Amino acid sequence: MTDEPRMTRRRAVILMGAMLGASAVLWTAIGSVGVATGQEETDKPMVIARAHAGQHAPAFTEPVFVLVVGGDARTGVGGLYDSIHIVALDPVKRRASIVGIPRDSYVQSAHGNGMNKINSHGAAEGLPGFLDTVEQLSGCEFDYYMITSFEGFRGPQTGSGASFDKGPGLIDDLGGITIHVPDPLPNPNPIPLDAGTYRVGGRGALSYVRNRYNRPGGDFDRSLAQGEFLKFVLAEMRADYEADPTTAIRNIAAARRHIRMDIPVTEAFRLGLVALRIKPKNVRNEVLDGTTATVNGASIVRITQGGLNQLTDICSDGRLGG
Amino acid sequence: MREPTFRRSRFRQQRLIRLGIVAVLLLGAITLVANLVGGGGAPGPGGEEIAQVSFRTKAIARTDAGGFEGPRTVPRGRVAQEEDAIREMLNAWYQQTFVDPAVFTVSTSPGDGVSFPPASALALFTEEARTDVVADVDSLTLGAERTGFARVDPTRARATIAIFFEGGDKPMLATASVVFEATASPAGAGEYPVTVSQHADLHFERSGNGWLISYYQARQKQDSDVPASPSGGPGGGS
Repeated sequence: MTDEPRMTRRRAVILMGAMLGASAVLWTAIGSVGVATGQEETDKPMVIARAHAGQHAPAFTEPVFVLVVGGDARTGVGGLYDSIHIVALDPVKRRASIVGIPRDSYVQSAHGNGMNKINSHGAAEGLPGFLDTVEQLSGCEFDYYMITSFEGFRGPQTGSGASFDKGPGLIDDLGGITIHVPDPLPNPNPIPLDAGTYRVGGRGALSYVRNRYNRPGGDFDRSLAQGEFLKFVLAEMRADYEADPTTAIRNIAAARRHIRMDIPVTEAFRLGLVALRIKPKNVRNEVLDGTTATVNGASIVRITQGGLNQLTDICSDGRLGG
Repeated sequence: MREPTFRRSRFRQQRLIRLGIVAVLLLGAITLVANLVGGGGAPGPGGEEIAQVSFRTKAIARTDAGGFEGPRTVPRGRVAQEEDAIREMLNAWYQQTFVDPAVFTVSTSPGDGVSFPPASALALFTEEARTDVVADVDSLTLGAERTGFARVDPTRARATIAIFFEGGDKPMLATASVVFEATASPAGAGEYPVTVSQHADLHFERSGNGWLISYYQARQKQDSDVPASPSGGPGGGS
């Protein structure tokens, strides 16, 4: 099944860590991002920046850590952070690890907001503050963060309540992505997807990463699928690059049109090249282990010791699985 | 009686003009072919002509200007200017590391102060990349066997260059997809020529008003052009 017209097979490189080829996601700003509301002022639906207002680019001689966040804002960036991933890229060993953090994970705020769902901390703290909370939970020290919204996938809407067919967004600009859907995703937000392997544009990609209905593990499986999406993007970018290395330039140009880069474009390009050298088979993708519970009537996820071990694992040397 | 004389003279003139045109065309064609294969050499130290690398390039411009509406076109002259600069870098690198025997035949040993690639060639790379370049000398240059060759003649030097112009007019990044082929003649008598074939992807970053190569990947093959033995073939006997 093809949800959008098939596009020429080319696309791009650089969507940093998360888009590790994929288009999606880093966010906030090297210091200039608004903090309190989780809703950013930007003319672009994606943002990538150095963490902690870093003054210097990483040397790319040791693992690079990126916090990749997907917000539920329909326009701009921000909203509730429903998609949270730690992405570690090892430039030397040419491998990567991804850990998804369930949005309902019940964790301590690094900014005095007590225990709450992690995405509620995000809404209260904004991205720089949220970064501290994730670092406190995980022990990772992030080099970059990246955020995307729905608009980052499917392009801008026009008018209030407009349907999701205005575009193009980054994924369409890159020519689409080939994804594999193991189980049908019937939810029409924005479009239903059958099981199978096919190319999608921005709307299909958004359906793939948003849907949790009909996924046996619910939110856990959705988080895993979001990590898989990053691998799909990486595979796409690598295939393009191997066929024609100059696509790296086309793709950085496309990324610049859709992502606010609070880092020099040369640094973004280097980060993209680091990602491109990693084969998708050398990317390990997991979701934190946790158990569901109820606190004050709200459904939450308690991270198990196994989950904490996963965090220690990835944050120590950038590699899951020892 | 004058008319025939006039005709003869005019006929000679026309023949001379035709010959002249043919000569000019031939000369042009020879020059073109020589340039295409990297010929047109300069004299070497021993008086022998050294082949010259002359890359043929094709450039593509990309820009982020245009927002969601798509990329804006970059002025052609601006693209050509950067294409020329990158082409010169390619010519300089391949001339020094593949073709010029005065450079590649110099043997180097630790502490002798001589390096290969030479400092002038390494200067085409960012400082961070230079250590890797020295380590990857076998794929990026004529390689470890280079001192066994007497001369190298390029047979193909092509590059497709994509250039990223920030805001539509500020060159920031470029990638060159390079194909370089040459015939290397061994120094030893009776040895067969070697076909050199290299593919390289070179990534450039803006540095001041010029460019430096920051990342690369390259692969190279060197095959001896041994003629087929008349009695040879799979499983052929002695």
